Order: sequence, then C-alpha cells, then structure tokens
Amino acid sequence: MRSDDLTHPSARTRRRWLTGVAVLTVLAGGLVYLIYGQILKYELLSAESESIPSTPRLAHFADGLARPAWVEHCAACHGANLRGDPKRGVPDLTDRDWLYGSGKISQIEYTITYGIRSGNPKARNLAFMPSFAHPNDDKEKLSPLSPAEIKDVTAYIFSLEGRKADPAAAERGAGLYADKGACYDCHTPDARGDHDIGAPDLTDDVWLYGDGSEASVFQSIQVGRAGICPAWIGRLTPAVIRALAVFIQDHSQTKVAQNP
Amino acid sequence: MSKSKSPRDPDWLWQSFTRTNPRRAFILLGTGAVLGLLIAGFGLFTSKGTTVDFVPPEDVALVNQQPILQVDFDAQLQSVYDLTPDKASKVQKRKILHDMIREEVYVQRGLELGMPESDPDTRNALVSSVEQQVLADITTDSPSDEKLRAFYDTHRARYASEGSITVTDLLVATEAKARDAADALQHGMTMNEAIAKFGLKDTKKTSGEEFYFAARLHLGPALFAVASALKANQTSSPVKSADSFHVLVVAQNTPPVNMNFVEAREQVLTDYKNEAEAKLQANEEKFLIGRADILVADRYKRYLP
Repeated sequence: MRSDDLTHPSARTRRRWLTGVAVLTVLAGGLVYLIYGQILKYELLSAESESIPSTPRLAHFADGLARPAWVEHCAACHGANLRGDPKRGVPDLTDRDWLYGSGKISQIEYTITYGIRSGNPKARNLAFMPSFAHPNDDKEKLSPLSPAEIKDVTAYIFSLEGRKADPAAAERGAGLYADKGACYDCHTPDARGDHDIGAPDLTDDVWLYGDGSEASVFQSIQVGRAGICPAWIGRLTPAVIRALAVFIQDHSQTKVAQNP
Repeated sequence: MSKSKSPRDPDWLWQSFTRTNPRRAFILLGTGAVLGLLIAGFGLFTSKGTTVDFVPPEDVALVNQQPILQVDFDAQLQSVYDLTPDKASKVQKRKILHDMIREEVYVQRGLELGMPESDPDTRNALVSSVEQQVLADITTDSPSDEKLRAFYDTHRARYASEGSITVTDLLVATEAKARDAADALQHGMTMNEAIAKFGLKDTKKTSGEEFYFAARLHLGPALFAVASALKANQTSSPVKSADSFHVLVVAQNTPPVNMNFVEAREQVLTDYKNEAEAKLQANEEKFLIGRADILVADRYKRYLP
C-alpha cells in the first residue's frame, strides 16, 4: 500500500491536519481583519476630525466605509456623483459652497448626524425661506410681496451678482430687501448669506434651486423653500457617519482650498 | 484488613463517588438551589444596571452613563468660539467640556426633581420634541414618484401657479351711473375721464398688480369672482353692494396655470408629507390618550370630546 494513497491512515491524518490548519488560518486571518477594522474604527472616531484627511490610513479606511453607505442612503437624493439636483434643491456637494458651515468635517458630521429640518430636536432648523406669494401665517408676520415687488427683489439680486438688471427696479428691490421683505434678516444686509442658519449667499453664482434665471429666482421667492435632510443618528453608526463626512469633504473643492 | 463502610456511615457519604448515594444527591441539589437563590437575590437587590467603565470613541465623556457626543462637543465649540476642534485651544476645550458636563448633571438633577412635571418651559419643550420625533420618519421619508403622482392626480386642482391681476375698484351711488360708466369705459374712455364724468370713486382697495390671494383679500370674494373672470382691458357690469355699485376695471389678468407633475413635484411632496403628518399626529394622540388612565371629574365629563 502506497503512503500517498489518500485512503491510507497516515494520509488521512495528514489531510485532517492540513484542513485544520487551513481553517484555523482562515479564522485567525478573519479575526485579525475584524480586530484591525475595529481598531481603525476606534482611531477614526478618536482622531481630531479635521486631521483625518492627512492620515492616509484613516482616510482610506473612511472612504471604504463611506462608499457603500453613500450608495445605499445618500445617492438617492444627492446622486452617485454627489452633484445634487437643482430641480429639487439638493445641493451640489462637489463645489466649495456650503449652506451650513464652511465644509469642515465636524460641521458636515453634525449635519449628517442630526439632519436639516429632520424633526430631530438638534437638527439644523433655525430658518426657512417663506413663501411671499401667500398670506404668511408664521410667527414672523412677514407681509406678502406683490408680483412687481418680487420682480424688483429679483432685479436687486441680479445687480448684486453684476448681472444685467433694471437699475430703478434694483433700487426698489434693495429697499424691499432691507425693509418689507426682511430678506436681510437671514441673508444678511450684504446678502452674503449666513452659514450658521443655512441662508445662501445671494451674491455668488451658485444656485440651490433652479438655474438662477429670473423665472427660477422669482419662483423661489414666490413659493418659498425649506429643504430637508434626514437625521442619521441611530440609523448609521458613528463611524459610518464620520466616514461619510470625510468622504463628502474629500469630494468637495473645499479640500483643495484647505490643503492646496 | 480495613473495615468496609456501610451506606449509613457518615464518612461513606463523601468518599465513594463511584456509587450512587441518594442522600448525597439531595444535599448537593439543595445546596445548589440555595446558592442559586442567594446569587439571584443579591443581583436583584443590588442591581445598578449595566455600566461601562470606558468612554466609547464617539463620545467625549459619560456622565452617570449618559454620553456627551463628540459631534455635540464639536458643535458647541463651533457655536461658542466659532472654531473647529483643530483650531480650538486647550482652555477653550476645557471650558466647553466643563459646560457640557455641567449641563448634563443639571439636566439629570432636573429629572430627579421632576421638572418635566412642574416647569412649563420644560413641558412645552417636551411636547414639541415628542411631536417632532413622532413625525421624524415622515419628515425625512422619500416617497416614491408613483405615490406622489397618485397624490397629485387626486388633488390636481391645488397645483397651479398663483394668478395675478391688476384691477381698479370704482364706486358710484346709483346703478344708472354705474351702467353708463361701465359702458363708457368699455368703449375706450379713460379711467380718469370716467371718474370725472360720472363721479366715480376709486376705493383704492388694490394697488397695482396683485397675486390672486391678495386681490381676493382686498376686494372680498364676490368682487374678486367678478374681476378674475374678466380679461385684460375689460370692465365689469355694475356689481351691487350694500348701498352702492362697483365697477371693476381690469388692466391685466394672468389666471393661474395648472402645473404638470414635474413642475409641482416639490409642492406635491410638501402637501403629501403634511397630510401624512397630520394623520400620524392624530393617530399618535389617539393612541396616547387611549392608553392613558384618565379620570375626569363628573362636572367636566360633558366637555370630553
């Protein structure tokens, strides 16, 4: 009887040993992988958030953690390419314009955690754009504007951007901006917006809703705006939320601006 | 020669474990049961809940096991000093940490003191928070286009642009004058000429181009119904009011235009959610009141809904 005959008792014993060693190796490898993953998660959460992009190991880990979560939870609104949808007021996350904050990871992380007008008590929900073509029943008691007044405000906004606008209409619009419309209250007197409350800068050429045409600006003032982002606390783990914040900043031009 | 032990001998009880001994089995069983009861009793009467002795990485501290989240700490830093964690100094971080721990212990003390029962502000905040939490799922839900389209189809009349109108409301005492003025205006007389000739008075209820809702408020539903049915440069027949007659001159009228689904989608989504939220809130209220043990004084029972 040959010893390499697999039915030979010694060959069977060897095969069992090899199988056992292989299984143990796979199990040990899996365990090491899991432990390493947990260590990285711990490091990701313990690290100073803004320092993560400059730590390649953590940045890479965050990217791997964020991608499937992005596809599953975020892409439906923000798009797989993060470019948003101006028809629905979903912001483009690849530019350097931020509604809330200035694109810091900790700020993005807060927005993902608690959302925007999400119903979570800690959500970003201090302000919304009222509808000026309807009787306003909210606490602010803002007066509605007439169509002509909305056109004047639109002309004023165009003049801020240096676009062609009727000077007389723009002047009337400036008065409405600072008085009856109370636009200054959120968008600030110089119309540069307020990133603490999510009021967009009206002097740049970035448009959250529509294409910046007269019709779309008129529409925004007429019907009002109040976009929503869900609160992900309790639905996603803290590590995934932070990874998504890193992922989003990585895809924005803020990263370029901060780390030229 | 050693003397063999009998089963009745107390020494034999613990020496020969190879042989069954009912008495020994009974003693061991009883001892195990008593020990188990003691452990259970100790656990039950000294229980303090599950505690952890380390701070999870997503938290900056645990205060009586209540976490202070890193994300809240960072937001507080931003809010107080307008600084992100990488830019804040040790002193600033220490101050924020102290403030947050202080807040947490005060909140916990407030709960111990039963503040939610007695403090009106806390009660209002709690009501508001619970309402928001109930609606959170709907608020952040993304209903499918099929659902929204079905909603749009059911409520199609809602989805139209806001019409606008420029109308002047002229008032005159007699029907004859009102009719003559309306005829003259219809045939090209200017408004100023008509005012002078027939003694019309501009009520100035409207001013320039107005949205339909504003014109309806300013003119009242009856006059608005007449005005909105006119086209640009048309004049109405006299409309009788309490003690005089109105003639409405329309310079411009842009009626509402029905929006297609794509144009109306955002508004449909808002209305859809509002309706779902109202239903859910009503159901939640019904459920909470239903499960509560509420006793109402006899003299107030007639006020129950």
